[in-house]
Amino acid sequence: MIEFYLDQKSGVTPYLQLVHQVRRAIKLGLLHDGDQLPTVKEVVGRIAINPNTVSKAYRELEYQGLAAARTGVGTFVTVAPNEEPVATLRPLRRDLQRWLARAREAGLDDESIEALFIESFRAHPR
Amino acid sequence: MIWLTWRQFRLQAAVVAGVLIALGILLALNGSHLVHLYDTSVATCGHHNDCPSVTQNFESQAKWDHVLNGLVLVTPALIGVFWGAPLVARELETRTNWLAWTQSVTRTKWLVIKLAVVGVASILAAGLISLMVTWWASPYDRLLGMPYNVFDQRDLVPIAYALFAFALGVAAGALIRKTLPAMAVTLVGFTAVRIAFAQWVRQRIFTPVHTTGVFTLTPTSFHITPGGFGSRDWLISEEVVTSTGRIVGYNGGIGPNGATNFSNTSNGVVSLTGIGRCPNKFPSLRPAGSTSELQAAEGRCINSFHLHTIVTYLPSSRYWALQWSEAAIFVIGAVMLLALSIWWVRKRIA
Amino acid sequence: MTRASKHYSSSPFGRILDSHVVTLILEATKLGKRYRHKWALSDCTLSIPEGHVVGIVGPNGSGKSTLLNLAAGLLAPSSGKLNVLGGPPARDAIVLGRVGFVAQDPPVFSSLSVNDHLRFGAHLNRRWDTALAEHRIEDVGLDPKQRAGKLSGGQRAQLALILAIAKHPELLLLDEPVASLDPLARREFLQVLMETVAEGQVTIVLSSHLVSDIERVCDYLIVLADSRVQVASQVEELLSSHHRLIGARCDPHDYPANQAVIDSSHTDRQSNLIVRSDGPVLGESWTIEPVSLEDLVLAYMTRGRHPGSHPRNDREVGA
Repeated sequence: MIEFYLDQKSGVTPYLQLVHQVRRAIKLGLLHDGDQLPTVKEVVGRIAINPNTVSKAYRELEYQGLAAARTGVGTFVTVAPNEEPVATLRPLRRDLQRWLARAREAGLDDESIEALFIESFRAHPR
Repeated sequence: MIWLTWRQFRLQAAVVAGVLIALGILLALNGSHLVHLYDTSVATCGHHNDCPSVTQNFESQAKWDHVLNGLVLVTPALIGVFWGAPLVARELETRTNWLAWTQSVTRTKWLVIKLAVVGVASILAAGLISLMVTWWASPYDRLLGMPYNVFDQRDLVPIAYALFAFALGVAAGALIRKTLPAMAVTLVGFTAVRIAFAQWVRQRIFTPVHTTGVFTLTPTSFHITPGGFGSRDWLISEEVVTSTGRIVGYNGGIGPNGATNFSNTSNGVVSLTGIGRCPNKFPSLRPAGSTSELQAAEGRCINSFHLHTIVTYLPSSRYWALQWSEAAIFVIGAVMLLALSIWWVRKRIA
Repeated sequence: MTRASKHYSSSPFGRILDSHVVTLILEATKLGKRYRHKWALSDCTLSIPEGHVVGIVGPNGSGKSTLLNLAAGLLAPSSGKLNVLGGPPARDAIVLGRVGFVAQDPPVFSSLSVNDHLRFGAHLNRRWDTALAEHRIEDVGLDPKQRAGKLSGGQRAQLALILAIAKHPELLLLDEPVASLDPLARREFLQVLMETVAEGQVTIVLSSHLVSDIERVCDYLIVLADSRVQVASQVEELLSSHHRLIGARCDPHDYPANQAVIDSSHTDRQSNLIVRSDGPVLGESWTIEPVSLEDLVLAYMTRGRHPGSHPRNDREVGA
């Protein structure tokens, strides 16, 4: 089961943070199709946020087609089976690790690496 | 709410109950011994002509009399200070009243139930102490035969005092809102009320009886001849007056300090201090005149002024009427203070 | 949320707003409370809809405690009107049963045990959920036999909270509940509180001077400063309608026309405004950025401290 957290300093509105965390977990293969997301009560019992935030996040996930609510039972992950097969992830991860090693060799510190990555990332939106 | 009040009060109630039970046992044992002693010795002492020694023996056996009287005297004050004052003040001080007032009980119910539980306990405690001591002391009181001397330590009034002290404590606690100052104010206030009442009010509840007698001087004592006044009655005041009604002395004595002084002027005239010149001649004092001649002359002087004593007293038959009346007054005072407390807590603590 | 057209029609317990019936759990009209010669709260007009977690934030002495104590019926107003659940607060035992209150530094009966406190709750409330109370006591790790006087601050706060929620109130008032708690105790308290909200229909009104806590749990915000209400609205609406404008140094008469400037600060080169937007920002010379809730609250609190210079605070910041 996924465990949520809240970064109050990130500037991203809380419900979107939860949505992103679910999406990332799905992408990394930590959440599979049919896994149950924690109940609203369980989430707020752990991270003490407004329950409406959690409800809103779950509704957004439903809207994006990533989750489905079953009344009386809970909210479950729905992932289309052919999304991002694990196979494509492995070489990408390897390339990324190689690039990181080169950046470190070139003398960049963590902050510069992060800035470089984010700049390039933002310069190439989908 | 009854549960809560009892839960908060139960330790104090247990302690006092324990004390009362222990006291009750001791008094029962000692008291029945005294009853037996009285019945067998004092009651029949007239026949055996040994009254002085028998009564002295009895008095020495009843030596707890002072302690027990003192206990009855302080019990109402203790109830007011330790049960009355902290009842509301403690909660206001620690804000636990907020805890109760934000459950589902109104302020009125909160206070009324507290007052009822602890008030009833106060009445019971004071009642039991008064009952036990009155019973224990009854042979001794019969022997001494002066019921008014221990008026406020017997029968009904201690219960009324206790209720009044309790109500005074509650009112002080509600108005002052701090426990220790409320306790102090209760103690001082209650003592002041009791003293003032006993000194000035009690003798004015019923119209006393006035009886007049001639004030004369006999060889052995002043002879007061009023009618109907005895040692069982409550002597309120005793005045020596002239035929014009001018008060010249108190409690059987004439003159400014009641000393009945005769003073000599140089030309052989004697005067009675505070009244005037003696019209009769006194035997000369320089040579050692006989004392009996002197006393006779003093007696003639006093008689010449035609003095009277006026005794103001309350007969012993009024004892119970006075008990009920004084008790009623204190109970009414208590009720008024309790009503004030309820109104104050409802309206003013906000 | 448009502010252009609102249609009110009053009913005893609610208002019809944009064709939705909004039940108002608390309605204050020019509410004021005075102690001797000082007004702790003045001219307070609020309408709090039910079903929210409402945060009241403001500096110390701004009237937060006073407002909550008035709503709980522990104080009586000096002026104005206050309606809670459709009528004056604490008017009878039934209304008292529908409102829960957790005081600042909550009082407990120090000689009674935790269990005794639960029994106290059961005896003094008509509606009492013993199972819930006992379950929560166990959850937070309180020893039922422990004397309440020996509990830590955090444990006392938890006990007071459980006493308030076990009677299933419709309105729960909390006065600075976590102010004197360490971070762990604070988190645990808020966890229990949020679980209560998740479980059922309850409106929560809590006060704090920590905006970060408010931000976490509240979806409706009231800012009190200078004993007055500065702003009262849903958090989402506030965040979407307020912006930070950064541009070249300018004077008040050059401010954008349709923006209400809440706070402003200037260096010799730059002006930094926090505004409430009544419409799109005119003029390209301004950079528009979102405002954090904390900065928004600070802006309104600063405005509250200088009420004379409504609403345009101008501050010089050292270059």
